[in-house]
Amino acid sequence: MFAYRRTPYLGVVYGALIGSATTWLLETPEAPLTFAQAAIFYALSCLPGLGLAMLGDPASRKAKAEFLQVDFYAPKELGDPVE
Amino acid sequence: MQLGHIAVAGTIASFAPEITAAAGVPRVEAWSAESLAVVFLAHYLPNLDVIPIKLGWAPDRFHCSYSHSLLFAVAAAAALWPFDPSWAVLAFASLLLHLVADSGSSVGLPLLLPFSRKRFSLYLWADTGHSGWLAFKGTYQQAWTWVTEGGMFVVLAARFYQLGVWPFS
Repeated sequence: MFAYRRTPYLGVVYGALIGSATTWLLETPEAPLTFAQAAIFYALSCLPGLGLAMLGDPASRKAKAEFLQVDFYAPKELGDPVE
Repeated sequence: MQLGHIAVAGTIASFAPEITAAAGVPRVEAWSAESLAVVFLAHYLPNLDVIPIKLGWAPDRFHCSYSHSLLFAVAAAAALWPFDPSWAVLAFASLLLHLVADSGSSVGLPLLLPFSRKRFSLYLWADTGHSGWLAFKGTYQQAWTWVTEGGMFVVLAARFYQLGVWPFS
């Protein structure tokens, strides 16, 4: 899934940045986030963070290029209509 | 988009009062049983096109065809309107956002069917088929699916916080 060992670690760094930005934008003085609530935001932010890190990883690009070569909708049986 | 549809549907249901108010139809509460049922059913409705494929009634290419067109969204909403205008509005929003969520896939969406077969795509990730483990695994080997789907789960968490729902209550 990753060509570079640094990709998942980079994902966590990006996730921390996204989590920081999200909590900074969202948090209101009336409803301050507890440690656990902030941790949920940071953990979820690692998902798009990992995606951002994967953008610089050749394995992700290779997977996309390989899947683009496959026609998953080609007729498999005789009798299927062909355009 | 695969698991991300859960987050998209949950986010739409969280905006049910705003969506219904903007359309001038009776208000539906955020994350009520009504909004969740209508939004999730409508949001997943286009992907039910895999059922006739699995039953052998339609070829594989039936996936992402008529059910992923704008006319289908309009028709589904129009069919619901006589029963409940609020459901129709929520269903329309859910169906439109299903198309937006799938717009990154290389399979392309035939938005203008049956008037045009042209497919529209942002080509953010390669399509990996309509179902099965390979489709699931292949989706998550690609970067943009993590960015978009993961991002939607962050948005959903933000809505939990804004509405004061557990674990943000």
